Amino acid sequence: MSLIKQLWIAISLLMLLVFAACVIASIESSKHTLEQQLQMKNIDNATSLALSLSQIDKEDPVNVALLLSAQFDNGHYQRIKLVDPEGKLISEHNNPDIQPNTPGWFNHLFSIEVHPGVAQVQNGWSQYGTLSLESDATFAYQALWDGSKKMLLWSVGIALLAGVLGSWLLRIITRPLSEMANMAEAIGDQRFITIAEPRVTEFKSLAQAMNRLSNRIRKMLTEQSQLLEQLRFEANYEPISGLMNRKYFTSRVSAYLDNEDNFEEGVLVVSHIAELAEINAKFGGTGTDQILKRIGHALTELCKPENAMFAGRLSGADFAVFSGSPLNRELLCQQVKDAIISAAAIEGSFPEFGPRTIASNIGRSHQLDSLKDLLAVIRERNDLTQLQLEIDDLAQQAASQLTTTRTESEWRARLDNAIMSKRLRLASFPVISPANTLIHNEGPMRLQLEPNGPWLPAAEFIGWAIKLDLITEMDDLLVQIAIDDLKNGKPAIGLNISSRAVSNPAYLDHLHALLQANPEVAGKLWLEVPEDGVFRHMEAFRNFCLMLKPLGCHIGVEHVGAQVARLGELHDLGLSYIKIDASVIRHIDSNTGNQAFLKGLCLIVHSLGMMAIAEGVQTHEEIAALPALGIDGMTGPAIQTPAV
Amino acid sequence: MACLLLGIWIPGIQAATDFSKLRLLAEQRYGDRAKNTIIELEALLNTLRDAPDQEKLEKINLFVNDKIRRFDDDINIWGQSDYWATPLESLGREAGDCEDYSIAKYVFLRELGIPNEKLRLTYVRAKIGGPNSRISQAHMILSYYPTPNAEPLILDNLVISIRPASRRPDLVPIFSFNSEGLWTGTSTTPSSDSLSHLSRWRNVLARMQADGIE
Repeated sequence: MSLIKQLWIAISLLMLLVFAACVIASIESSKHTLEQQLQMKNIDNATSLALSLSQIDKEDPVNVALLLSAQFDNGHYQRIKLVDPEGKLISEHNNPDIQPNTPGWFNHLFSIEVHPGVAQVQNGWSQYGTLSLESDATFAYQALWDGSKKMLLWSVGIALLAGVLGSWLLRIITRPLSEMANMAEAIGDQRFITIAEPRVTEFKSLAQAMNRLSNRIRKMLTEQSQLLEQLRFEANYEPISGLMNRKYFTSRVSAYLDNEDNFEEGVLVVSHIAELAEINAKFGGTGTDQILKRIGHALTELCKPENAMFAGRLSGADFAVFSGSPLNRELLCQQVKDAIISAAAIEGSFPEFGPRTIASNIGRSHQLDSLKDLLAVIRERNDLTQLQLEIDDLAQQAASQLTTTRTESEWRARLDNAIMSKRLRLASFPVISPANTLIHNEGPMRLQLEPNGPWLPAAEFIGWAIKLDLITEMDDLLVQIAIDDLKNGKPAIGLNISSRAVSNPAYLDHLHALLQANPEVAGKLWLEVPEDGVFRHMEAFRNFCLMLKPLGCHIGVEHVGAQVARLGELHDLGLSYIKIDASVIRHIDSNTGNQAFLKGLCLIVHSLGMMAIAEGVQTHEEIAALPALGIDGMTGPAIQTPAV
Repeated sequence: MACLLLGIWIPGIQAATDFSKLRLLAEQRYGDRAKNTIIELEALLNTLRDAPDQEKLEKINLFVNDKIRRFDDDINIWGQSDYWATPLESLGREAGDCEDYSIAKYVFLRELGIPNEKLRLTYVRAKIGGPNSRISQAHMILSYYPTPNAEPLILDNLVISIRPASRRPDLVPIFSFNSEGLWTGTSTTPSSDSLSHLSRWRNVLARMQADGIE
């Protein structure tokens, strides 16, 4: 039973007792007053009647009878009795019909006891008799009954008022308590929230203690994730320039190329500083390190996260910049070259200084071998113009194989038609636990541009869908499809939610309404938002969690890796899982640096009450290595749906 | 005793008078003389316990008439017209009005076990100077009825000797009363603050009780 209910019952009982005591005391006191009044009346009337009787001539008994009758008939009496000194009855007047109108039980409970008034009647010197007189007590019962009813009515009225007032007060007093109960529940769910401190002293210290706990955990998580970031840096970055090392850079690029849902075409720029040996000779080790550091800094500045750009130092003299979006190739090439020249700032010693830089469009069909080729040729061939032309040819051939060029109106017609005919479906890639049970199926969007045409991955049409403002409709439709699939008995589905959708209130409302209407499948829906989207739209994502989490669905973050330092910020959202980016998972069996990183990451994730799922698992060696590092689930090309 | 069995309480029905309290109060309020009077009273009552009624009447009548030396109006004694004094007050002051004599006699006789129904406090019209006098005065005497229908004996402070009513032609009875039916059943001893609501008669009985005469 809740505290409020118990308090309420206790107060009600007390009130009942107090009111009952009040009512009874009041009735008793009224009764006492009435009894005294009646007693006085009896005595006084008996005395005055006896006085009258003493004065009259009693030779004729009629005189006595008349006087008694006159008194009895015109007064309010129950009985008037006259007995002679030897106890013989002289005269008696009795009113047997007097019965109070009040309930019998009440008369019984509060019986009014009044004794007859007694007075002596004289006849000269001799005693004539003893007069005893009883008044009619009906009015007293009636008055007592009416008074009691009124009293009870007032009591009930006041009790009701007190009840309403009491509940209101109780609610106000215990409000902080329910907030703290919520907080305790949140902490139990590993959501380390803090609450405003209540004003009530006892609650205040409790809330402070709980807030301190939450804050300490948050601090610990922040420190841990910063340590982790350091680990990640040491394993994946090159210490002098601060750029990605070759291993990590290629992992990141290949993770992009393999991620057909978010990537269609990018640009790869490679730059070779042929003069490095001479620079080293001229400026010495420390000086060269300074120059490299400046170059690294300049390239990092150049890489804008919204274009999915990142830079790496592939070897001593080779730098590379990758953009996950199709930027202007020549422009980017020139920007990289200029950035390196101005950052190096060595025109004084090397007036002719200029890194050999070439750029290539890079699509999903490319293999990473092309990067190796690029590096090989850039070091050997002097004629960069000719080389660039050759590369361009190659890229164009690849592109023409990939997509047929369509105009805007053609795209609109086809996309409209696909949405109208609902030629959208969810692909299915299993996510399994180390014990080989299915956690859920990742369900990226697939669309048929033409009826019976190929089912295209999102990357091939998403750009146009955004440009033509059709993406909201597609998102809505996709959620509907997912829920329908679940209702048809399909296993749990992991649905990608773009950061664009997370920031769209209309989409949120739609999702909320759909989940609310289908609570039976909400628990089987896993909604995941990419890491960069989460941290770029933290407020929107927080709101997303607050709105949808209570409905029972799982919420997670996917492609986690680049921003682990900020993982602590997720401590109070109650997330169910994170999916760790393929670039971290790649070759995890042999990469000891990333093993340490992943192990730490899994620890933090678990302490936040979340599952850690590995993305892009490609080899059996990786599958074998991951569970020992704390991974709870795996997905990727090497993962098969477990046989049921 | 019968009264007790009937659940009726009447002052003085049992020899329950608290003489030590009475002595103490007398000494405190009125001094040694009063204290000695109370001691005498106690002695007298003790000797009379088993005496015949006639002796009780005579001794008590004598004692009260003797000890309340000054017969005066209430206004002179108590500063208010018609004040009903308790026996302690009357004996202490050694002064009293007619009803003060009668009350004292009534109480002491009751103390000696004479039943209520034999005693009446009687309002009488007293003709001053004899039965044929034209001057009359309101007076109170105590009547004693040996049997219910007998002629009463009159205990008066004006005429010292006890005489039957027929030998008191100067007195015309008006009304008589005793404490029968007064202190009954549930109406317990009134507390002192409610004394003002009581009749004079009930009031003096209550004050008496507070003095220790029960």
